[in-house]
Amino acid sequence: MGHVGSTYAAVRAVGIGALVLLVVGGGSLARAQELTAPELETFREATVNPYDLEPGQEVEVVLTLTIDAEGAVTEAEVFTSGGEPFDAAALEAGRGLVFRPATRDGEPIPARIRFRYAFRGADPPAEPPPAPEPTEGALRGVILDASDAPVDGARVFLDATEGDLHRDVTADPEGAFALEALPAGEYLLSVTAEGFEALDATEAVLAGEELSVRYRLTRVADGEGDEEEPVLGVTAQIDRPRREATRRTLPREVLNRMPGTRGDALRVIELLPGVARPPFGSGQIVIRGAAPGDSEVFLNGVSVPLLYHFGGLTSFYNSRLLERIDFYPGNFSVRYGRRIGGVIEVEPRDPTEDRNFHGVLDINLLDSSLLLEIPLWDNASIALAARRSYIDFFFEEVVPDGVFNVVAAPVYYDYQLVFNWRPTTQDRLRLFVYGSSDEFATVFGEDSGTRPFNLELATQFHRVQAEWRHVYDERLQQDVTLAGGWTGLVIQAGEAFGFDAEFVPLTMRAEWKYELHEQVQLRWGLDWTYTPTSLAFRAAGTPGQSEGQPPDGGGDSPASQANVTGQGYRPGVYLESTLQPIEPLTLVLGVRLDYYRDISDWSFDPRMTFRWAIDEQWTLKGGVGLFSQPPEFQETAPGLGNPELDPITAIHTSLGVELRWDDTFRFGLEGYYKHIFDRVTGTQGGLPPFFLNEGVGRIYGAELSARMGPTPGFPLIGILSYTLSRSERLDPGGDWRLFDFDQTHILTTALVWRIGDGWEAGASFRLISGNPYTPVVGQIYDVGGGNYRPIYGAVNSERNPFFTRLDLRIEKTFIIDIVRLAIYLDVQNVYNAENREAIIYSYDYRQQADVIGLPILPSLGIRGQL
Amino acid sequence: MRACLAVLALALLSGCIDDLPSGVVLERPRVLGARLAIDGDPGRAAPRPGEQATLQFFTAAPGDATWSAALTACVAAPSFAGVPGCQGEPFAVAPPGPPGPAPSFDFTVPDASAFAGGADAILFAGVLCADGTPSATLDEAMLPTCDGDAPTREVITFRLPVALGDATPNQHPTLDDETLTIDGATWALPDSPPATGCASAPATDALPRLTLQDEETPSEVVFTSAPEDREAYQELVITDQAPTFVDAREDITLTHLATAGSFERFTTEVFDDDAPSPRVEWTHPVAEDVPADGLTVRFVFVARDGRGGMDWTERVACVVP
Repeated sequence: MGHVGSTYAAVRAVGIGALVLLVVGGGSLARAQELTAPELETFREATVNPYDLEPGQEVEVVLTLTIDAEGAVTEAEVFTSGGEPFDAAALEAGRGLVFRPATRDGEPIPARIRFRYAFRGADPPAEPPPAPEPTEGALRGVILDASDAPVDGARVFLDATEGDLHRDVTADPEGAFALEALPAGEYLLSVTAEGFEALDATEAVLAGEELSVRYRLTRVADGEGDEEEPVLGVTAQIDRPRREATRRTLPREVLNRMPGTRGDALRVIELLPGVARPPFGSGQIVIRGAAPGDSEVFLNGVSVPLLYHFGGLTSFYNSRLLERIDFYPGNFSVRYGRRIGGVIEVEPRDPTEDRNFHGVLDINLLDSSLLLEIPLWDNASIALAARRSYIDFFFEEVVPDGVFNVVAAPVYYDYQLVFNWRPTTQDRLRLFVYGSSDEFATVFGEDSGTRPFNLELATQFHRVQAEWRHVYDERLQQDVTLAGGWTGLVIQAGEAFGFDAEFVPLTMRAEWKYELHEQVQLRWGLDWTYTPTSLAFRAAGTPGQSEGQPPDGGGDSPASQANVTGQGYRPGVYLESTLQPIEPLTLVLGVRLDYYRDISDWSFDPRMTFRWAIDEQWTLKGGVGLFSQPPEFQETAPGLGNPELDPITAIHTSLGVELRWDDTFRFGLEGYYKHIFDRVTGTQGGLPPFFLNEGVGRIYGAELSARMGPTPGFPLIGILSYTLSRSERLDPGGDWRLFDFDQTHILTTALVWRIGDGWEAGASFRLISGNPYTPVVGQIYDVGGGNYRPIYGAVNSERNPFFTRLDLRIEKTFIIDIVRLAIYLDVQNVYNAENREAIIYSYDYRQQADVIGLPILPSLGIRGQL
Repeated sequence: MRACLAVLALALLSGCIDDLPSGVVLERPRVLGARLAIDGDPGRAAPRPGEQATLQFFTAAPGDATWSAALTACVAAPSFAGVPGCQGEPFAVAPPGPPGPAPSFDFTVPDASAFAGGADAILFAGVLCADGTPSATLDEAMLPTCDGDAPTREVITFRLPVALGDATPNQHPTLDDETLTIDGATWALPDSPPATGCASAPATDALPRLTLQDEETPSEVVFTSAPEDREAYQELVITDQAPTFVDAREDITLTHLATAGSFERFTTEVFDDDAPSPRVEWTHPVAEDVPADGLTVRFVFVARDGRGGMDWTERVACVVP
């Protein structure tokens, strides 16, 4: 049964006119006094049974209210009756009204006023007007935790991306929430709940339709999921938030909006603190002063051989199929081994589980990609994506005549298939099929006067990866991953160098997580790899130290070659416990044991990290641990290297603080020191056994980071990071020197502005120390070879000038029915800074010239989403 | 490695290498080679222990130049990388000599006992000064300077394999029996060509006359080698099993440069018996550099077998507008 509400009208004319007379306990009227009437602050509705009024009937009740100096109604009387039950309803409601008190010369005083309640019956039924075209939709959803249990009391904030509509609701005990009567359009949602990490999402509400969503929140430090580990990694959630939507939503997360990345989420890693800039944007990952080969990229725990396609312009995985990226610059979990640098963990997302078909088509100047999401049956869905570049279509046209013959113009492609099925509430099965290919081949000097020089680069990998998660109960969870595939790598540089390798990597990971106690969680697992390998290797000289050795311009080294087949067998086990001995402290202790059959050696790595929540804003964090990795293939191959080498070991230490200023601003400051033992170095004169574990290294620095947003209602998103670091190496018989990729200062800032009306613009700027290089101080003419050889100064004793680059991105989005269309322009190196990446020399090393890096590179694209 | 190749590719694509001299123009006095002449067997490139020999340098300059050298010879220390060094003290030292057309160095190869511990080569090092004199001998100062007015200084090193054991000693390649053609015509050894005004001299095989062409129409030089110049030998290769000697055949690398114009590349290789006549294009000088009475252009060719064997020759052409 409904009720009839009242409207009110304080009888202001009457009230004010009578105010002076009605002043209770009024003072002298001998002087002009400034009086103000009470103002209603809290209204209470008077309600009656709807059957008490005829349709269209109006009833009015005027009350006399006495209001004290605090603004409360102390007395209510009927001044003009409307009859029962209206008088009683008005009196009851009138006594609950709250006013801003009347004042005299600014001082609150008691007062008496008239107050009118008006009751109106429903309008008589009329000819129903034609139903208007719906202009509004609704959004309903449920908030769950990682085990699909509802999250009670979660708050959902909603902001329109255009206009200033703002709503917030609180989820009920079942985790459910509803936002009704939303004008069609795009909304930014933020979900917060105590004990969980905030979740941001973007949803498109369509007129006349109800969008149903499910959001999964990640518990903070509850031992569930890698992202909650109290390690010192930066968690970068990208593109697609952790949730499943029954309608295709357009991911507009922070990290694929960043200028200069061409919308590629994985390239945002370059903006994070601790990440150095590789020369020429070669796509190498240099994390906290470690060599590129010292760090590894994983896709859900399975190593992938490369992160970026040619030139580092595009990553190997479709950004819109990513759940998140976890980036660990150091002190990472024992779940990861065989690396002494950093770890990047890429986690794909599940396809949407609604009953709708979704697609994204992205076309730009360099490549095009297509993503399709197809529902299969209840709790099962599949996503397919593919991308291909088309540089090869015009590459031959831009190559100057006679320079070289293009055998295979640069081309890259990648593909992904993700199948997700939840057969029971306790099981999840996922299948990934993915791969990537880069190929480029040319032949120089293909005539009778010179031996053809073919330059070829080809990298391919294909993987099938199956995952099974089983939740036994709320304390025990098991994850099993099996992966297999093929990796091919061809590097050919004339007769001087050839590397043609095929790997068939097989990976098995099994991990169990067990909550022993509310304050004690355990994780243990098996990380097993088996890699049958066949390769052909050929070089004009013997393999040399991979770093810190400038090219000597020739020499008398004999050629080396190898045709090797073998099996790399590297099993590893680990155990980790997460402890909360006292409320603000989270302690993670772990150990890892690895075996490397190629060198018949073991490594044992104990590690520890902690987080101390000083208060709601400040957190202290730190860690120390051992990290090991095997030498590179060529360093241990029989005949070409030294199979007796030991694993390389590093100690990671770090200490830092985090400040969560408010929902918008976060800051971090962290210092670190790493020491590398048993670094592999070349022998004196490059003589057998060619390599020894005689080098050491030290890396130290500090990282400052600040992040702004995304926050509902706040149109700016920003990242600021500054890294001060020094990475040094000590070779046998030498002095400490800079590492090849040492960069003292790395300043990166990015800002994205959601302008409104579908427009978004952003800029990023980088100021980074140039890489060190070894200067040429003279030259020697090699009479036997007929060429000059450089005489070098101290290794890495000089440095390229500072690198600067400004990137801009602007995007305009249109929503046309159920299609969202975006046109974007992403310009890298806007002011065409001529950054020196290397130095080349004349034939006699008497003259030199700069090799300049990436010039201005605009990328215009269009993206349609269904 | 991937990054290195990417750098190379980008450098090639950017064309920046074109901005630097590539060595195909003889723009300054240069040392271009050195040929060993063993007493009694001048065609052999690899000396045996105890033999007497002379190392004769080959130099060239745009104009006239005199040379003086300070040289030393030692047993080369085994090394696979970096600038080679000596195993022990030098066995021969040549102090700075009087200026002359091209330096030479007389020495006696040490006996076999000096080549212990895997050493198998002689290492020559020195400083050669064009239009100047080395400031010191090499045993007194490792890298002496050059005294004189605007001298050109070249620091050289030369690792020359020694014939040890029963291995067949390496022979020098020879350019005497090779044929060169330019634009299809026989190109003979020069015979006192005029330094200037070559247009008034008669066109001959030794002084072919070339009408100035733009860069789109280069002249074509063809070099025909004798198959016997490419000797068979045993090459040391480091493999995944062990260091191994494998059958190999020499490549002949021909270095070519000119006092004007520009070869398309610095070297031409003879590596295939089925293609014994490699060609190389020579772009004519720009018109402003060619006087009306003709420009005498000198061409230098140096052949190397990659194992210390060497020979050289010269040719001349007259370019007329």
